[in-house]
Amino acid sequence: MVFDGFNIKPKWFMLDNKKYNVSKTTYTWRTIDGEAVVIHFAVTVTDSSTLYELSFNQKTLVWRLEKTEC
Amino acid sequence: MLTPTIFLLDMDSYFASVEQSVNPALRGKPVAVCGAPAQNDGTWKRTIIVTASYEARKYGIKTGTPVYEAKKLCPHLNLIAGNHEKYIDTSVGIQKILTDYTDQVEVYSIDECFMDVTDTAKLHTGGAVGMAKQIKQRIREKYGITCSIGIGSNKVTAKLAAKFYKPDGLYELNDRDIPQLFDVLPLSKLQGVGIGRQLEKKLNSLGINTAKQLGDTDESLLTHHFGILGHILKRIGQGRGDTVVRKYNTQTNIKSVGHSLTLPSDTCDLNIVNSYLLMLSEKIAARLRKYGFFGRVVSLYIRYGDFTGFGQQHNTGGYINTGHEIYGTAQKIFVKLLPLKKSVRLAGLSISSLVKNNQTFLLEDINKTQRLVSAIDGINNKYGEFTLRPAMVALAEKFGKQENRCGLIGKHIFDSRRGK
Repeated sequence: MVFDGFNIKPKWFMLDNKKYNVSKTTYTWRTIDGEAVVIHFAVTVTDSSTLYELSFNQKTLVWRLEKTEC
Repeated sequence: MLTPTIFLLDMDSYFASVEQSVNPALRGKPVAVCGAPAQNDGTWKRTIIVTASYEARKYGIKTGTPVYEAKKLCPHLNLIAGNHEKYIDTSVGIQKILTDYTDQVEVYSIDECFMDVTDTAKLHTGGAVGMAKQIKQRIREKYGITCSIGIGSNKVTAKLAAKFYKPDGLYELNDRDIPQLFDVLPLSKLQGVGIGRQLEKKLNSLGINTAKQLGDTDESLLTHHFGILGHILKRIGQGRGDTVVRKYNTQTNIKSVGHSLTLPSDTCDLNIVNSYLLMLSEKIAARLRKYGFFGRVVSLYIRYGDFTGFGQQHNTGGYINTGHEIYGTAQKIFVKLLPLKKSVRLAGLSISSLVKNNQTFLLEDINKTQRLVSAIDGINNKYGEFTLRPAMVALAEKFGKQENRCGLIGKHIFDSRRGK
């Protein structure tokens, strides 16, 4: 991920030992899980029409791949 | 005195627009957001359309259409299970944009806000219209979605103006234009302004077909047929309405706290129904305590598989705020339905007659209970809802919790999100 002002942006992620470069973050939203704020990113990757949802827990600093949509 | 300048900002096909922005491949395509995900067999049996995109509306799909019917109307419809967290967060973000223009921003629903810009619009380049254009542009740039803004001198005319040119509309309805407009405006155009379909039919049966006719009707005739609503109807027909817009940080006036759940499948199993009732009790008790309230009247509603239902209230005689107490009261109502003759589809529970928690308890056991629930709240607030819960709730969770159902979202949800 990279910092963009006060925001963070995912740049790439690994799935099944393959690296996916994020081409665009189409949408961002936040959810609350107890005390933790979780930021969700809907992203597209290079050379694919699949949409991925990544999340970042600001308390635990854990990234997760939440779902994929073809 | 300055004539008030009221905005009504209405998001266009809100949930569907958000989903089209999340997934640009859906732009320009018929999209419908429904209440629950597809079942394991890939069908969407127990849910309805919550919002349809404008492309889907062309096929006759609207809010409330059952999914199977929507699929018949438009076989290539893109169905998406709603994600209310996404819509709430976007809504809060939009509300924050609006507070850059005035602190008088009243959240009317998840996709509608009133603004009073009487004092601030005159300071803005381009006045009220320029301000509205800028708001629309900022929302489009940040979220990729459009809204319509109506400008009027009160809430009725602002809401009416917002409906005129949708989607992506902006219309200022001046008071001087109202007589000419209302002369020919059918009552159907006042839907969403306070006149629903049923009311329209009743008014039509009295020979009232246009807004002007409504405004000209003797108030005593309207109150005779519609009670206190008659006074409001007369004002709507004259283009008059409330001008008070609450400040953004004003807490919603809470009169009751409730929750309902459609079960993943209909059931006659009492253990499962009871488990859901306990789950609902714990949920509303936690919310009650969060707001600092105690309640006295518990209402239970059960809908059966054939869509008939039963609802009743029980006055506890004292004030309660724990899931255990609410569940106990709900049981007193529920036993009247036993033995169950039909399978249960939905269970709803609410508590009303609320008072603020400013009592000091003298009895040791009450103090113990309050200390216990306070400790549970502390853990659940830190680690997430239902981290600690009664074991019996596990039965409902196993049957299927359907936490992510997306339907009507109460305004109370924004109270806890404003500061975050």
